[in-house]
Amino acid sequence: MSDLAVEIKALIIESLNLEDLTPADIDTDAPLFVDGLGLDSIDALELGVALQKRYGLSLSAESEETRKHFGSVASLAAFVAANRSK
Amino acid sequence: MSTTPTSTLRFCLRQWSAWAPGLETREAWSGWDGTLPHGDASPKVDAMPAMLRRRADRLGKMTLETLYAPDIAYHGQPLIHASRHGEATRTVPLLQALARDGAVSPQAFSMAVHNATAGLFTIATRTHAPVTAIAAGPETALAGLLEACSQLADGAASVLLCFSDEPLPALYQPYADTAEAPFALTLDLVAGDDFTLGTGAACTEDATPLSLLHFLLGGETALPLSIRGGWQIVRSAM
Repeated sequence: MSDLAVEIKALIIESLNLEDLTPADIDTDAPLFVDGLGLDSIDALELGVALQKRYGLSLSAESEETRKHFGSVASLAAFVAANRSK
Repeated sequence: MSTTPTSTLRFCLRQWSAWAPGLETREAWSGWDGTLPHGDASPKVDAMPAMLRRRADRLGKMTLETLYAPDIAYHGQPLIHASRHGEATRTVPLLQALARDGAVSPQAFSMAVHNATAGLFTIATRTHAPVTAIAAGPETALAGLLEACSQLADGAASVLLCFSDEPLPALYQPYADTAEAPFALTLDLVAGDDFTLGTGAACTEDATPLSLLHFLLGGETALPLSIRGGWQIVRSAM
């Protein structure tokens, strides 16, 4: 598992108050929303803000692309690696 | 022939639950002398699914702990949540973040509205019951009781009346007219005439939710509720 994936898992846990989880509990390839981890639309917004702040990304809340990037930790890590400005 | 609407505001107390730091069990409350609770402790709210519980801050957790109390055995009755200051400890940092960064936490923002905690409870319990959220300054205890009695008079078989508050953030404390204690309490009220609301009493101060609880658990015959209007609550002779 890449360091970036672990870092993103820690960011998810911290920003979404997932008090009972550790990075090891989050499956890198499993869906983050609804199924899998079970996050909801407010979590998506919160995570978007946290990612923008941490990595200097620019995200469009409406785009279909963004939806794909938020599919799993693996897809988020790939997106962050390709687009980060810090 | 038209019927005269009943204007009597009355209720019976079927059950209650309460939580405050140092007063975390029913037994502790039964021996409570009315001294204001204090401290930073927060309940766990084990009864709520963790994915929803994580949204609640301390005020919400105290509130939810009393709503989930086994004695309340919630079964979908209308819910009234009355809180004088609500989530002030959440809204102050939120406003400060907005002023500083121009952005706020969507999660904190979603929980900053006055009916958010009651809404979270209805999501978790999958109920479609009406929720009423009230903030009425120093008359919050009276306003909650008036709403509850009005719903009972309007035909509800029972209502849950929940009160909760906590000390204000330091920024607001210079403007407070009274020290606020951390607490939550839930009253399961049903139609009946053990207690009656009325006006005409000479009141020198507004009753707080905690003084209301102390009265309900005690044996006094009446509790003055508000300076304005002279509202009081009277216990029927047994």
